[in-house]
Amino acid sequence: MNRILTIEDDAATASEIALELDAHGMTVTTCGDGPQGLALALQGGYDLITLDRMLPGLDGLSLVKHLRNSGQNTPVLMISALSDVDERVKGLRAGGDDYITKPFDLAELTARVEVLLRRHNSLPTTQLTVSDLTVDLITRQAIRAGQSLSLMTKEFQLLVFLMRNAGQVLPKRLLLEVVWNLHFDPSTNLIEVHIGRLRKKIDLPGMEPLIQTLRGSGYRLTRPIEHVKG
Amino acid sequence: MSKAEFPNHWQARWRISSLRLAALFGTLFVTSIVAMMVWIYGQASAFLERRVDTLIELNVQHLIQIPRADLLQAIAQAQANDLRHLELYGLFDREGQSLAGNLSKMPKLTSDGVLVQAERTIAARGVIIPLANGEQLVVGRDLGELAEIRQILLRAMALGGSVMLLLGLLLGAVLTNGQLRRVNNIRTIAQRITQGDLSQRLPVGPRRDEIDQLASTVNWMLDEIERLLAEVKGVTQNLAHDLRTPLTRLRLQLDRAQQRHQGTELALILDKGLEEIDTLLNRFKALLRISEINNDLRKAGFCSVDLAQCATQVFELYEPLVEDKGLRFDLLIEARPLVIADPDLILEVLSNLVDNAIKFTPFGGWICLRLSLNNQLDQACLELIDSGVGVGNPTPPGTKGHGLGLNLVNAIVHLHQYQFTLQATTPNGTLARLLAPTF
Repeated sequence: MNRILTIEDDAATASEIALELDAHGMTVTTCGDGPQGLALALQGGYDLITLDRMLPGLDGLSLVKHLRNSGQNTPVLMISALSDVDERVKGLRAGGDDYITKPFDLAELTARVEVLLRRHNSLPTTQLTVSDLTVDLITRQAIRAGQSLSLMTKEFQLLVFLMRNAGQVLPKRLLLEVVWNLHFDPSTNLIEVHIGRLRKKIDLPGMEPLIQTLRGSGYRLTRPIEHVKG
Repeated sequence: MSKAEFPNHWQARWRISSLRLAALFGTLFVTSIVAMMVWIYGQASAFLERRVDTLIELNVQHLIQIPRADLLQAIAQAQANDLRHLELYGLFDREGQSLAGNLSKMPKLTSDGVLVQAERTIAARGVIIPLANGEQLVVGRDLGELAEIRQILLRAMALGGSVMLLLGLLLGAVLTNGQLRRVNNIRTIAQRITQGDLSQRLPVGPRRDEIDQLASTVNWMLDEIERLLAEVKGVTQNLAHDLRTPLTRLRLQLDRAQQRHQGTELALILDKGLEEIDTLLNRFKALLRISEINNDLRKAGFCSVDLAQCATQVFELYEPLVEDKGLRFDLLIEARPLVIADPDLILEVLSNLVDNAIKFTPFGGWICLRLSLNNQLDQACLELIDSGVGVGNPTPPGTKGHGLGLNLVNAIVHLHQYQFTLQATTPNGTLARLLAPTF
């Protein structure tokens, strides 16, 4: 069971984060101020920290810097009401692993936490397999039920991200960030169209559909991932 | 300041008050000097003429006292004494024949005392004295020396006047250049301020003249504007934080309630509530973002950006969507200019423009993204042309969006100090053009 430390000064937000992550099988410890949060984080024993950017006593940026300077590499998801591009850049430069702005969707928060946990815990691989779909990360080849798939660069990147986080609901915003490096919401059905194209290529007629759409939440590739050590 | 206000270099200079003042004072100065020199010349000439007349008078006084028998001898003696050969003597009989002296023919005397000879004009002053025996004694003095002195005076006046005129002009030019340099400096800084760099201040010199006083007032005004903007920015950021926290709670609680009542009618109602909150939040976010970009001069994300790469990225991102809408999408990369920009913000601008073009272009239309380079102006030109309904026409029915996209584009363009135009094309459609300086 993953242990999460949530450092958040707003009690209501902290409680919602805790409830949500708890519902996804994680144990959450909450803390309301910077210095106490840093002390808890330095004690260790957490798999991930969600960290508010503006905290009483010690702000989030300084906290994560302290943490990294003392050799702690626990993944940190920074949460902030400041959405400015510079704020995101600063948060990531200070040592944060991901950045989400308030107000956020609970599903998106969970997705980011799980993606971070998986990234942190996963072993290096050269091949990913989900059901009868296999992707070779070296040759950049995708094969479904023995048939080679012809994928464009972005389609391949999208598929790899879905496969690495198979079983996990991935919100549109996260996909836009990871695959297209877009840090804003284009407010169109862009992702639906790209997913639609990928779906047509991998879910061939008569085969079990692998990509699921969860209305309002995002997309999920079914079947748990099986790593093959490279 | 625009070129229309300063049509050319000289007109610009002439508008400088110091040049006009210098020209006015210069004219007055030169006129006074010329008048003074003319007076000096007149006085000097009159003095020299009087002196010549006095010398002639002395010679006459000497000669008329000498008896006739000794007169020839006396004239010869006087001539011998005149080492500079300036004096003129002549003794003529009744018939006008020369008896003695250095004048071979009897001259005539004009009313102003100048001796004139028919054969050759002699520049001399003199007198003709009739003697008792009917002979005539002519005593004169050559005016060559006087003319020479007059020439020297005229040359001195011309030279002095020219030097003074030149010095006046030089002083005027120096003053004008100094003032013009200061005004140009102020214009350059003012341009930087209008482009958003409020930290700039006008230079204030130690002289505390009228320009310095004006600059001090403008600087004080800028201090106030900067302080007010910082206050507004602070209020906006606090407002953002204060509003986002309750909105976050509200959204989280509705989200939680919706999850707990999955499959029920309440979940559907909560779902709609969440959608409305998301719409509200998106508008709120767009407004805040515009204000953040407008007020913020931090450029942490600025770097060298390959515009062709950005254009290709946006093309690849939108190409499936454009195709799905039954439109044609073309990408024309005619150059690969590098510009200084925040790549994330450039992608946002292009996405907004393409998004807009898709919304406003009906089925069967086309969109073209073109990147070119204007070598003469060193400008990258990014154009998005569509066959849509054109600028200013009503939004097609069913079009979604908060209408803040173009405001965001303008804010980002302003932050980058690029030029952006949006114009209708004929017979229909829109041309959006972004001009960015290359490096």
